[in-house]
Amino acid sequence: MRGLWKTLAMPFAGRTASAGEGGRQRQRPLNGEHPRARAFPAWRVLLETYPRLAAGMALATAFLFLFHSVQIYQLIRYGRELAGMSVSAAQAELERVAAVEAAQRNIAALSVELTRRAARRDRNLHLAVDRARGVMYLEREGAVLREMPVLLGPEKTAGSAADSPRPAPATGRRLVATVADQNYRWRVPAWVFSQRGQPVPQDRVLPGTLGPLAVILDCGAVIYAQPGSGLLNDANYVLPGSVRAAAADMEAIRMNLRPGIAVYFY
Amino acid sequence: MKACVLRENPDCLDHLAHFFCLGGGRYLGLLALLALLGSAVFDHTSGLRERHDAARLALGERLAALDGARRNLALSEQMLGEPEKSPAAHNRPYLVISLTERRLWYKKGDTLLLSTRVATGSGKTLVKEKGESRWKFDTPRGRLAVKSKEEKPMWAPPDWYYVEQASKRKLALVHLERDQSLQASDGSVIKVAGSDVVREYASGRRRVLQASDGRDIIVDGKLLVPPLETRQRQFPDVLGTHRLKLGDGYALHGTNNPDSVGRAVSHGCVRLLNEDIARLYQMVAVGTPVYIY
Repeated sequence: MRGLWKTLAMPFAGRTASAGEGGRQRQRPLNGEHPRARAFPAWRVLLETYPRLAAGMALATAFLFLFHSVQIYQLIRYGRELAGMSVSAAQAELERVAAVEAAQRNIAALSVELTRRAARRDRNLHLAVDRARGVMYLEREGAVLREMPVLLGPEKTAGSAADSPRPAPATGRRLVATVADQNYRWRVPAWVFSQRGQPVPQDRVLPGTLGPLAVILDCGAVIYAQPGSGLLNDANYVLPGSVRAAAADMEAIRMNLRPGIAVYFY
Repeated sequence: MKACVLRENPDCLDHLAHFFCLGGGRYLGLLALLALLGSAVFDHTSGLRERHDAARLALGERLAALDGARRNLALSEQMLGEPEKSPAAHNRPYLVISLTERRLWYKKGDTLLLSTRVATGSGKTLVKEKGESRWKFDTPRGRLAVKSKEEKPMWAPPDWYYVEQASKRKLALVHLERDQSLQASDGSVIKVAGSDVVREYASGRRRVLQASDGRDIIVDGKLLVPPLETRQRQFPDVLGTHRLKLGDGYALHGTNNPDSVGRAVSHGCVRLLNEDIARLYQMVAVGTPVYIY
């Protein structure tokens, strides 16, 4: 820095001498003077000849170097920060997705837990289906009157006929719409025939299809026992979205079932 | 204008030429190159700064979103971890009776404390002659509770017992009230003396009449129905060793007919073997709910 100042100051020092010579004479190289002057002889002459211009150029050059340095420093800093922010953003997004998924799982578990608690608090006689355990309870005031193992029908798109919905397991609180006995004439959905590999008959209202005792819920799902004959007489088949209990269990609770009682699914 | 200045000042041209001769052009070129480079770098840096600012804003938004997601997660965990407000209510003991299976369970929460066979209501209907009264011998479904407990209970047969006995034996019924007396054909008088039903003969001799389950008082071919609270209407042993009263005349009790347990033969009460009712008597507190389904 000090050398540079000297270099820049030199033309001003020599200006009076060279001015007296008309300022046009080409100067001899000054051997043994400043090292930078030896390295750039043309610059030395230029500096002595046009000191202001040369000094201005030198200052402008220095300023540009300084400017470049600042810009390059900024470039590097921004680049590093951008890379860091990119990593942070990706990490934050991953964590957010994980948190959202965990919260959704919790909310689902909470929904199940709230339904379970609502069932336990219900002071009236009701049924509760624990889907995870595959158990149906006859309960009242949190007291378990009967515990019944059940099979749950899968969620499944059935057939392609016009009346083919996607029966899904019921959730939350449902109500018994109909208590069906052996003589109940159930309008069998066409997709049941399709699933059982049978032709769809003209008249699908068939008595006794749901067996000796079944409960039809307000959502259309059915709680039934495997009938001794007919379309649903298959130990390996459970109506999609419905619940199949043992015939003895259904018989044991028969007298307690009536339209309007609640069925909790959790 | 510039050309005019140069034309008017020929020295200017000389100076310029001399400046370039001295290599000033190279330095001016270098300066121009540096300025150009600076401009390019500045332009690039500006672009990068904009990206940097945008990235900072985006990161801020993502961090805010992450913060929100974490808050939701913490809230859901907190809600999930909240205990039930009245878990104790679900951990109390209770009795369950299945009328279909004729079985009783004594539970506490999920723990089974006792399970045994019982006899339940027969479901039969008894109609008094001329249809004056009608009884249905069903065990009621629903929620009852143990109202009181009793050792060595005495059974005060209800009216239906006499109607049933009279029907079985094809006898007529005759009711005796406390302030009444019945004139028998042999001249004696049947009346209530204190807490006993007595037969008073013309000689003044008085005999306390005896009655028990299956051994009733017959007066002139009619089945006598003694007043309530008389000893002739208090049968020992019929209800076994213990009784848990459920209200409305229903109870859990023992029996003097153990073979009947496991069948639907009672008049509405729930019968247990004497050893089972004795255990329940020890275990069950007054107020325990009884769920019958």
